Amino acid sequence: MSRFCSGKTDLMYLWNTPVVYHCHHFNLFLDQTIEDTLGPQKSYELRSNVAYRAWYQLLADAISNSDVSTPIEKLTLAKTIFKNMGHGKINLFWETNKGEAIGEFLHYGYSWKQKYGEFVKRFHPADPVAAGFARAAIEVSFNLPTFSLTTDETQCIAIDSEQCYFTIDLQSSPKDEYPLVDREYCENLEMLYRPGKYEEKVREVAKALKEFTAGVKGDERGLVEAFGVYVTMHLSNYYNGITYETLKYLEENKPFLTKPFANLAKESGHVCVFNTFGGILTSAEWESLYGKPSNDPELLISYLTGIARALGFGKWVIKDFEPNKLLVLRTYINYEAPYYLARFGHCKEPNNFFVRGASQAFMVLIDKLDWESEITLNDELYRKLFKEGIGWKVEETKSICTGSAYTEVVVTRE
Amino acid sequence: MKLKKSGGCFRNIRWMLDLEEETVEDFIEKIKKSSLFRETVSPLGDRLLRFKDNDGNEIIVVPSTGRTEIRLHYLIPESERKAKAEEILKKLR
Repeated sequence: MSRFCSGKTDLMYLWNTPVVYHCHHFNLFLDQTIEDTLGPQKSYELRSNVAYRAWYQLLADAISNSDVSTPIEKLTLAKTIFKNMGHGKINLFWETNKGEAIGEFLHYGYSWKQKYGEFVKRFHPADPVAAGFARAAIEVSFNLPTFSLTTDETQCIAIDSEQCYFTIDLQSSPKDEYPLVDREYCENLEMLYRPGKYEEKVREVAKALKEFTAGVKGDERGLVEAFGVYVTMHLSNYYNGITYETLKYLEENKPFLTKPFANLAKESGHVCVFNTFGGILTSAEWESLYGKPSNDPELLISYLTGIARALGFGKWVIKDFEPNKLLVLRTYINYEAPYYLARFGHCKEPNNFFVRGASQAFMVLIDKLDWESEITLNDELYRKLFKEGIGWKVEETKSICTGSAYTEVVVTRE
Repeated sequence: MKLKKSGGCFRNIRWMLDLEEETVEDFIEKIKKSSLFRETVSPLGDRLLRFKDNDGNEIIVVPSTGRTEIRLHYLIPESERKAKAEEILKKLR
């Protein structure tokens, strides 16, 4: 797989398609947010359609840049990409006008079962991302017209099946032909980057982690188990598609739900930072690179910002930082803004929800955790930190999406 | 040497090893001589050592800090993981 980490933007690409690393806690939380907002059926449709578009972009790109020509070779490449990105194992079958896909250890369904299976009964399938992949992989591999297939997930491990099963039918699906961002678009956005505080350390951390993650790929199950989480390399156009298409729908149809939705989208940043960033900082791998973290707030904020860059989140910069008091974090580019700009143009209200939540979570982790003691990252600790009074408020004072040169968030004591 | 559950979300899959009186250098020496584990390539080189047994269970050692972990193979059923970690501990003693 051809991964490219841009030194200019700190965005990441697989061939020319923007990707980022996110863990299963974040993935499940964001998908659940969409499901709770739109309902199971409508949200599954949206998520699988957005996934289809995003996968199609990646697979067409990958195939055109690889030495494959037959449908079987293309299909094999597609499945390998899916597996290496940590999305699980999927087998695809296609004959004339009908096909099927069988998934094992699919990231969403499997990790949902691991996280919630003991306590929650699920009634709706959990793998629209794999459904979108199956459509895209068959269309690309067999040179079928775009939007010519539909999929239906009839069995899902998250609802107690042994495996996930999808039917694939030759039946045209709704054409959503809005533009998706690619490497050329993102890298050519105007960016007035100015280094911030602790820049040297931030860069050093980003570089070391990028080197470490270069060799990370799915195991025999097609899962990436690292830092105490299941990690995926995932399509930025998927995250942004499901978030901003839902936001737009709410603005036009249910404006009273816009604010609660924005708050949940922001909370996805808490979930990510707590689990993935926390998992990285408490891992043996981190300890081998930088030692066990201390309670030095300046070091911690440098680490967290460097990790964000390494995961492909964009050019995150510490504009100002006063321990126990203030964080001003700028993103001269982030993975959220390019999609919104390309799809909708400028908007009136700042909307880089993930940056907001992540920055707020940075201050919570620095302020509330004793890094020199043993830290167990579990739901109980998450609730204690983020549900029993966060203690920090965040405001997105500038946003690339409203026409500013950068997104800026200010985190202060509540 | 004793076992302590590691704080991760994969239930019972990672265990911290408290080496107690044994130094990390001695432990590394011992495990390198052991026929049960073989050293595998680590992306972090000498900063993080990895040893694997035939079932895919790993011992992770950070020589600079002495942190030592058992990482069980993911295909071991959850109900059997604690016993497996204890079995590995016995072999390491």
